Amino acid sequence: MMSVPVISGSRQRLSAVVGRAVSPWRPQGHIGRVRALVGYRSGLVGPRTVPSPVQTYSTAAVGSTSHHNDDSEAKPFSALPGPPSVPVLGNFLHMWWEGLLEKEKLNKNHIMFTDFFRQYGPIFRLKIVNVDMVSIKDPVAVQELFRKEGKYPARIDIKPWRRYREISGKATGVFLSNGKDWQKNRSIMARPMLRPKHVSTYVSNLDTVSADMIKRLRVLQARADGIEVPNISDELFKWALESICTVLFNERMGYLQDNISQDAQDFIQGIHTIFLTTNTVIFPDADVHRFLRTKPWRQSVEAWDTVFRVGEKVMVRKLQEALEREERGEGEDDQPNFLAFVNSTGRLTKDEIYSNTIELMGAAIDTTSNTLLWTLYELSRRPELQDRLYQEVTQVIGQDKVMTWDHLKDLHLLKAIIKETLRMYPVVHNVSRLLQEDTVLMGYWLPAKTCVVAQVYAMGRDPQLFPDPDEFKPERWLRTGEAHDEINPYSSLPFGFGPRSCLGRRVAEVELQLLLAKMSQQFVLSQVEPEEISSVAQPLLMPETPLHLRFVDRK
Amino acid sequence: MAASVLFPASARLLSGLRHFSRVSRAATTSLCRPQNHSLSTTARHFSQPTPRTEKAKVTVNYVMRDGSTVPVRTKVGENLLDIAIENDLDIDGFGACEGTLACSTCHLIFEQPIYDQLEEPTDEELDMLDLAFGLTDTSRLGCQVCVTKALDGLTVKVPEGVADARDV
Repeated sequence: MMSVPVISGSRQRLSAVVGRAVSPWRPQGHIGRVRALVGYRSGLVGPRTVPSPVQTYSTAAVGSTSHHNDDSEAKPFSALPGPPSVPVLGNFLHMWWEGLLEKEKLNKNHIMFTDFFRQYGPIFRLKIVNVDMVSIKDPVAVQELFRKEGKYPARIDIKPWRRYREISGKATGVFLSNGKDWQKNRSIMARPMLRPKHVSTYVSNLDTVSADMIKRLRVLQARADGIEVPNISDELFKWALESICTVLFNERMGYLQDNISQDAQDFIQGIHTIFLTTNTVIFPDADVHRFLRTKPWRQSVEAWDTVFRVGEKVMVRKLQEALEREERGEGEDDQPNFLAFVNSTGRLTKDEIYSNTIELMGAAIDTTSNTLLWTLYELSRRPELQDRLYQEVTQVIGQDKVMTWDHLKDLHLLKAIIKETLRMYPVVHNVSRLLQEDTVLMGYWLPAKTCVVAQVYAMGRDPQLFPDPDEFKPERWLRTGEAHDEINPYSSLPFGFGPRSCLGRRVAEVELQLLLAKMSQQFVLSQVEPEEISSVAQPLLMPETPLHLRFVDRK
Repeated sequence: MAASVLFPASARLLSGLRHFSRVSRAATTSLCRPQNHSLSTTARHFSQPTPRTEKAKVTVNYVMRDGSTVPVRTKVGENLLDIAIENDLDIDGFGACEGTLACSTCHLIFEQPIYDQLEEPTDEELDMLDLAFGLTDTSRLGCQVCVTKALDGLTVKVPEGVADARDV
């Protein structure tokens, strides 16, 4: 358990670094931990300076951010660094000439952005026809960005997805809506998805899903060579879909087996296709693809059709069942039911309920499963870390096989491992916001409506923000260790922050914690052939080549 | 209305549900009350109603940004975000994520002796708290702290400088 003295201690150490006492009642001109860290990080104070070519302008940038009120010194929008640009097309010609719009390059765009930072500094503008965005990687600027997100925070427009809703007449749910519509959707969906007390009620069902998943792994393993689980990623997709449906419908779907229904297969495949075609249909503009009826556009539309067809079919049935239960006066066996709750608020139309729920289902599959895949990859290369995780899990859960919400509270190393995975492999590798007002960011004047993107992947791999950024070191996230105090908390926000942050975050975290804890109790993981696996962003960050894992019984 | 379009026959039932849900929302959105397992209707699970029995009342003093102190009488078990909302305390940008532990705008500063009495924060709250503006040694998120009888008369300070674009 986290103890209070540790927190106080860490904050006092920090305040010592900037030479200010942190007094509870006088927040000292708003100098909090974050500012303190900036001074430390940028080499103004503190023992460690990281020699890096990036450092010079990063320090300067921090200085200008903290003087953001002095607009007179700000450089104009047009002065933002970036690749060579021409009117209207922006950087399109340059990108095309350099081959940066080819599929292989786009699939590595997280690396491309990291390179751009190296070339152009910690803030730069990239405009490809009407995809126009300013990228940043400075945590202080990221903090400022979230402070300027406004009452109705808006993200970068994923035009092809929005277009589909428009042409097919489907409602936009919480993911794609904006303004007051977004707030209505969010307010209803966030309660059952994010409030800790509500999420705690899903643990018992999700625990059975993870227990069944372990059984499933054993079956697959026995059927193969007795050690490797073949096609592990496909199995994790099914696990992720089973998990989210269990939360949404309070019912097991039966996806953890060989022959799952055609509908479920189509849904999973549909979601893959939607993601895989997005990198293509977004450039140069979704409407160009739509007008020319390009192959990726048709695939994308067909996939959305499938996802909505299957999703609506499931929900018609589930809503009907929920109502029949109510009519018979039956309760939910003391289990909350997400769908019936959302319905009972009476604030969403049928179509809005469908769209919101389908978005949650779709957003839950590839994201959670790829994050788990990356965690398994890193664990499989670290037997010593697996041993420590095993010890923690055993200590917390003991011989109990059923895991509870209270168990999860004490799995600090496990949570650190998941955080470290998301630092190195943030499945959504950037977080964007549209500025709600004119803002000076890192010394540049940016007009309202500018799309500013925190490049989460580039930040996670920045040696100035994380020493040894390519090393998997979960210890850096443990609050009992000193390394934790040196991390600016805005340096790694894989779920975003604030009212528009990831809606599925808490459920996903619980799913990952439960399955990883169970896996660590039962197996020792290793790679079949030790090999480095690199990442692709399609647009979700996933392993470029299949992961072959051996699951050896821990006995 | 949505549901009655879906299933006209069940409109009456659902309007009852909706009414119930509205009432319970108005009564409280607290998550701190002990679960009452004899209630099984879905809506009840998500917004636990306060039992009719009279709950003990306590006083909470909010020190506002302008330095004024606003005393509020409230029931035991409520969290400090909900109490501020229900009593219409005018704090710009307070509770932007509606108590879903997704932001840190309901940041409050406690007196040390009170802070020491509180239940320890979870890792999830600490992670959000790290992102708060003007963090102190005795900071907590209002949405995660429920008042108890022992805390009667406690004083919490609304930190300065939380004001941002959400105020608009």
